[in-house]
Amino acid sequence: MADFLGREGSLTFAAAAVSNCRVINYQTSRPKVITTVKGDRREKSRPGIPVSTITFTGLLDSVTGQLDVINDLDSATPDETLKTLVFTVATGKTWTWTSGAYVTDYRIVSPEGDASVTIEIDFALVVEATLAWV
Amino acid sequence: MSPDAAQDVIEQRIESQWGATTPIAWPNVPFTPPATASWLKVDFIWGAGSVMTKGAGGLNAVTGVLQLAIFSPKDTGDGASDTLAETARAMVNRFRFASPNADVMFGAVSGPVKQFEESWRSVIVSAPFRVHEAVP
Repeated sequence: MADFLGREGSLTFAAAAVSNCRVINYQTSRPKVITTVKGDRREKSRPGIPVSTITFTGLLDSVTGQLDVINDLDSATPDETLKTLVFTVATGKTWTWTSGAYVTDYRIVSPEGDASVTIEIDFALVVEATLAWV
Repeated sequence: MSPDAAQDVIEQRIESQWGATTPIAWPNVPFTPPATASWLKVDFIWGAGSVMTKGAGGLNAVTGVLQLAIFSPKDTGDGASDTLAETARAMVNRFRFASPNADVMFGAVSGPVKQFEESWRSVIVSAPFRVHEAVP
Protein backbone atom coordinates (compact mmCIF):
# COMPACT_ATOMS: atom_id res chain seq x y z
CA MET A 1 0.00 0.00 0.00
CA ALA A 2 1.31 3.40 -0.95
CA ASP A 3 1.07 5.64 2.03
CA PHE A 4 2.77 8.95 2.63
CA LEU A 5 3.06 10.92 5.80
CA GLY A 6 2.63 14.65 6.07
CA ARG A 7 6.04 15.05 7.61
CA GLU A 8 7.65 13.69 4.41
CA GLY A 9 6.50 16.69 2.41
CA SER A 10 8.14 20.00 1.60
CA LEU A 11 7.88 23.01 -0.65
CA THR A 12 10.49 25.08 -2.47
CA PHE A 13 9.96 28.38 -4.22
CA ALA A 14 12.62 29.81 -6.52
CA ALA A 15 14.87 26.93 -5.41
CA ALA A 16 14.69 27.99 -1.76
CA ALA A 17 13.05 25.79 0.83
CA VAL A 18 10.09 27.45 2.48
CA SER A 19 10.75 25.97 5.87
CA ASN A 20 8.80 25.43 9.08
CA CYS A 21 6.07 23.95 6.95
CA ARG A 22 3.07 22.31 8.58
CA VAL A 23 0.47 21.98 5.83
CA ILE A 24 0.57 22.14 2.03
CA ASN A 25 -2.76 22.37 0.30
CA TYR A 26 -2.72 22.04 -3.50
CA GLN A 27 -5.89 22.44 -5.45
CA THR A 28 -6.71 22.35 -9.12
CA SER A 29 -10.21 22.93 -10.28
CA ARG A 30 -11.88 23.33 -13.63
CA PRO A 31 -14.98 25.44 -13.59
CA LYS A 32 -17.71 24.39 -15.93
CA VAL A 33 -18.89 26.75 -18.62
CA ILE A 34 -22.65 26.60 -18.83
CA THR A 35 -23.89 26.12 -22.38
CA THR A 36 -27.52 25.56 -21.60
CA VAL A 37 -29.82 27.28 -24.05
CA LYS A 38 -33.49 28.00 -24.05
CA GLY A 39 -35.44 24.84 -24.59
CA ASP A 40 -32.91 22.52 -22.97
CA ARG A 41 -34.30 20.30 -20.27
CA ARG A 42 -31.02 19.54 -18.58
CA GLU A 43 -28.10 21.81 -17.78
CA LYS A 44 -25.35 21.54 -20.34
CA SER A 45 -21.78 22.63 -19.92
CA ARG A 46 -18.29 22.24 -21.26
CA PRO A 47 -14.95 22.22 -19.46
CA GLY A 48 -13.58 25.58 -18.47
CA ILE A 49 -9.97 26.53 -17.96
CA PRO A 50 -8.17 24.81 -15.08
CA VAL A 51 -7.21 27.00 -12.15
CA SER A 52 -4.45 25.88 -9.77
CA THR A 53 -3.39 27.24 -6.42
CA ILE A 54 -1.25 26.02 -3.60
CA THR A 55 -1.30 27.18 0.00
CA PHE A 56 1.59 26.83 2.39
CA THR A 57 0.91 26.90 6.12
CA GLY A 58 3.74 26.94 8.62
CA LEU A 59 5.30 28.49 11.67
CA LEU A 60 6.43 32.03 11.04
CA ASP A 61 10.20 32.29 10.85
CA SER A 62 11.55 35.04 8.65
CA VAL A 63 15.09 33.68 8.58
CA THR A 64 14.01 30.87 6.29
CA GLY A 65 12.78 31.04 2.70
CA GLN A 66 9.61 32.60 4.07
CA LEU A 67 11.26 36.01 4.06
CA ASP A 68 11.92 35.85 0.32
CA VAL A 69 8.26 35.07 -0.22
CA ILE A 70 7.14 37.93 2.01
CA ASN A 71 9.42 40.30 0.16
CA ASP A 72 7.81 39.31 -3.13
CA LEU A 73 4.80 41.29 -1.95
CA ASP A 74 6.09 43.61 0.75
CA SER A 75 8.92 45.35 -0.99
CA ALA A 76 9.15 48.71 -2.70
CA THR A 77 8.95 46.92 -6.01
CA PRO A 78 6.84 43.78 -5.66
CA ASP A 79 8.41 40.91 -7.58
CA GLU A 80 6.27 39.88 -10.52
CA THR A 81 8.64 37.21 -11.79
CA LEU A 82 7.13 33.80 -12.38
CA LYS A 83 9.23 31.41 -10.35
CA THR A 84 9.57 27.66 -10.06
CA LEU A 85 7.63 25.99 -7.28
CA VAL A 86 8.18 22.37 -6.27
CA PHE A 87 5.74 20.52 -4.03
CA THR A 88 7.23 17.29 -2.68
CA VAL A 89 4.76 14.79 -1.30
CA ALA A 90 7.55 12.39 -0.36
CA THR A 91 11.01 11.62 -1.68
CA GLY A 92 10.87 11.31 -5.46
CA LYS A 93 7.23 12.30 -5.68
CA THR A 94 6.93 15.87 -6.81
CA TRP A 95 4.76 18.37 -8.61
CA THR A 96 6.83 21.05 -10.33
CA TRP A 97 5.63 24.28 -11.87
CA THR A 98 8.62 25.59 -13.82
CA SER A 99 8.71 29.37 -13.99
CA GLY A 100 5.00 29.32 -13.33
CA ALA A 101 4.26 30.41 -9.77
CA TYR A 102 3.86 33.69 -7.97
CA VAL A 103 2.68 34.83 -4.55
CA THR A 104 -0.85 36.17 -4.44
CA ASP A 105 -1.18 36.82 -0.72
CA TYR A 106 -0.02 35.80 2.70
CA ARG A 107 -1.47 35.95 6.19
CA ILE A 108 0.21 35.95 9.56
CA VAL A 109 -1.82 34.94 12.59
CA SER A 110 -0.77 35.51 16.17
CA PRO A 111 -3.09 33.11 17.97
CA GLU A 112 -4.29 33.10 21.52
CA GLY A 113 -2.38 31.50 24.33
CA ASP A 114 0.63 29.26 23.89
CA ALA A 115 0.16 28.36 20.25
CA SER A 116 2.83 29.41 17.76
CA VAL A 117 2.47 32.28 15.33
CA THR A 118 1.62 30.96 11.88
CA ILE A 119 1.96 32.11 8.31
CA GLU A 120 -0.16 31.10 5.34
CA ILE A 121 1.03 31.83 1.81
CA ASP A 122 -1.06 31.45 -1.33
CA PHE A 123 0.59 30.87 -4.69
CA ALA A 124 -1.06 31.08 -8.09
CA LEU A 125 0.13 28.42 -10.53
CA VAL A 126 -0.11 29.49 -14.15
CA VAL A 127 1.62 26.66 -16.00
CA GLU A 128 0.91 22.97 -16.06
CA ALA A 129 2.53 20.81 -13.41
CA THR A 130 5.20 18.29 -14.22
CA LEU A 131 4.77 15.21 -12.12
CA ALA A 132 7.55 12.93 -11.00
CA TRP A 133 6.56 9.72 -9.29
CA VAL A 134 9.61 7.57 -8.81
CA MET B 1 16.87 20.79 21.83
CA SER B 2 16.55 17.30 23.24
CA PRO B 3 14.40 16.60 26.29
CA ASP B 4 17.55 15.69 28.19
CA ALA B 5 19.19 19.02 27.38
CA ALA B 6 15.96 20.84 28.20
CA GLN B 7 15.82 19.19 31.59
CA ASP B 8 19.38 20.36 32.25
CA VAL B 9 18.62 24.02 31.52
CA ILE B 10 15.43 23.89 33.57
CA GLU B 11 17.30 22.44 36.52
CA GLN B 12 19.95 25.13 36.17
CA ARG B 13 17.28 27.81 36.27
CA ILE B 14 15.68 26.34 39.36
CA GLU B 15 19.04 26.14 41.08
CA SER B 16 19.94 29.74 40.26
CA GLN B 17 16.50 31.20 40.99
CA TRP B 18 15.77 29.26 44.13
CA GLY B 19 19.27 29.67 45.48
CA ALA B 20 19.43 29.10 49.23
CA THR B 21 15.70 29.63 49.77
CA THR B 22 15.38 26.04 50.97
CA PRO B 23 17.22 22.78 50.34
CA ILE B 24 16.26 21.14 47.04
CA ALA B 25 15.53 17.45 46.52
CA TRP B 26 16.52 16.68 42.93
CA PRO B 27 15.17 13.68 41.05
CA ASN B 28 16.88 10.47 42.08
CA VAL B 29 19.52 12.22 44.18
CA PRO B 30 20.06 11.22 47.81
CA PHE B 31 18.41 13.80 50.06
CA THR B 32 17.83 14.13 53.78
CA PRO B 33 14.96 16.52 54.55
CA PRO B 34 15.64 19.15 57.19
CA ALA B 35 14.12 18.30 60.55
CA THR B 36 12.09 21.47 61.08
CA ALA B 37 12.28 23.54 57.88
CA SER B 38 10.76 23.60 54.42
CA TRP B 39 12.28 22.04 51.33
CA LEU B 40 11.60 21.87 47.62
CA LYS B 41 11.10 18.67 45.66
CA VAL B 42 11.61 18.81 41.89
CA ASP B 43 10.06 16.27 39.52
CA PHE B 44 9.72 16.07 35.75
CA ILE B 45 6.68 14.35 34.28
CA TRP B 46 7.32 13.98 30.58
CA GLY B 47 4.38 13.67 28.24
CA ALA B 48 3.71 13.02 24.60
CA GLY B 49 5.61 14.27 21.59
CA SER B 50 4.17 15.38 18.28
CA VAL B 51 5.41 16.35 14.84
CA MET B 52 5.27 20.12 14.37
CA THR B 53 6.84 20.80 10.98
CA LYS B 54 7.67 18.81 7.88
CA GLY B 55 10.89 17.61 6.36
CA ALA B 56 14.53 17.34 7.29
CA GLY B 57 15.31 19.76 10.08
CA GLY B 58 11.66 19.76 11.06
CA LEU B 59 10.50 20.27 14.59
CA ASN B 60 8.99 17.93 17.12
CA ALA B 61 7.17 19.28 20.15
CA VAL B 62 7.64 17.35 23.37
CA THR B 63 5.50 18.28 26.32
CA GLY B 64 6.04 17.86 30.01
CA VAL B 65 5.05 19.08 33.43
CA LEU B 66 7.53 20.38 35.96
CA GLN B 67 6.19 19.58 39.39
CA LEU B 68 7.49 21.72 42.25
CA ALA B 69 6.46 20.56 45.69
CA ILE B 70 7.07 22.60 48.82
CA PHE B 71 7.26 20.43 51.92
CA SER B 72 6.86 22.16 55.27
CA PRO B 73 6.46 20.97 58.85
CA LYS B 74 2.82 20.20 59.61
CA ASP B 75 0.71 22.14 62.07
CA THR B 76 2.56 25.40 61.40
CA GLY B 77 0.01 27.11 59.18
CA ASP B 78 0.16 27.59 55.43
CA GLY B 79 1.46 31.15 55.23
CA ALA B 80 5.12 30.36 54.80
CA SER B 81 4.57 27.45 52.42
CA ASP B 82 2.15 29.51 50.33
CA THR B 83 4.82 32.19 49.97
CA LEU B 84 7.35 29.58 48.91
CA ALA B 85 4.89 28.11 46.43
CA GLU B 86 4.41 31.54 44.89
CA THR B 87 8.16 31.92 44.62
CA ALA B 88 8.28 28.55 42.88
CA ARG B 89 5.52 29.60 40.49
CA ALA B 90 7.29 32.82 39.60
CA MET B 91 10.43 30.95 38.54
CA VAL B 92 8.75 29.42 35.53
CA ASN B 93 5.33 31.01 35.04
CA ARG B 94 5.07 31.77 31.29
CA PHE B 95 8.83 31.70 31.18
CA ARG B 96 10.70 31.17 27.93
CA PHE B 97 14.44 30.80 27.90
CA ALA B 98 16.51 33.21 25.87
CA SER B 99 18.56 32.05 22.90
CA PRO B 100 20.16 29.53 22.53
CA ASN B 101 17.63 27.78 24.78
CA ALA B 102 14.47 29.36 23.36
CA ASP B 103 13.22 25.91 22.47
CA VAL B 104 12.06 25.50 26.05
CA MET B 105 8.92 27.40 27.05
CA PHE B 106 6.55 27.23 29.98
CA GLY B 107 2.85 27.90 30.02
CA ALA B 108 0.66 29.10 32.86
CA VAL B 109 1.57 27.46 36.14
CA SER B 110 -1.18 25.90 38.24
CA GLY B 111 -2.35 27.21 41.55
CA PRO B 112 -1.02 25.63 44.75
CA VAL B 113 -2.44 22.18 45.43
CA LYS B 114 -2.23 21.27 49.11
CA GLN B 115 -1.78 17.81 50.50
CA PHE B 116 -1.16 16.21 53.86
CA GLU B 117 1.31 13.45 54.51
CA GLU B 118 2.19 11.69 57.71
CA SER B 119 5.00 14.07 58.58
CA TRP B 120 4.70 16.97 56.17
CA ARG B 121 2.37 19.50 54.72
CA SER B 122 3.00 19.82 50.98
CA VAL B 123 2.00 22.49 48.50
CA ILE B 124 2.45 21.50 44.86
CA VAL B 125 2.51 23.67 41.76
CA SER B 126 2.55 22.17 38.27
CA ALA B 127 4.20 23.99 35.39
CA PRO B 128 3.41 22.72 31.88
CA PHE B 129 6.19 23.18 29.39
CA ARG B 130 7.03 22.42 25.79
CA VAL B 131 10.33 21.62 24.14
CA HIS B 132 10.93 22.09 20.42
CA GLU B 133 13.29 19.47 19.12
CA ALA B 134 14.96 19.88 15.72
CA VAL B 135 15.05 16.51 13.98
CA PRO B 136 18.05 15.86 11.70
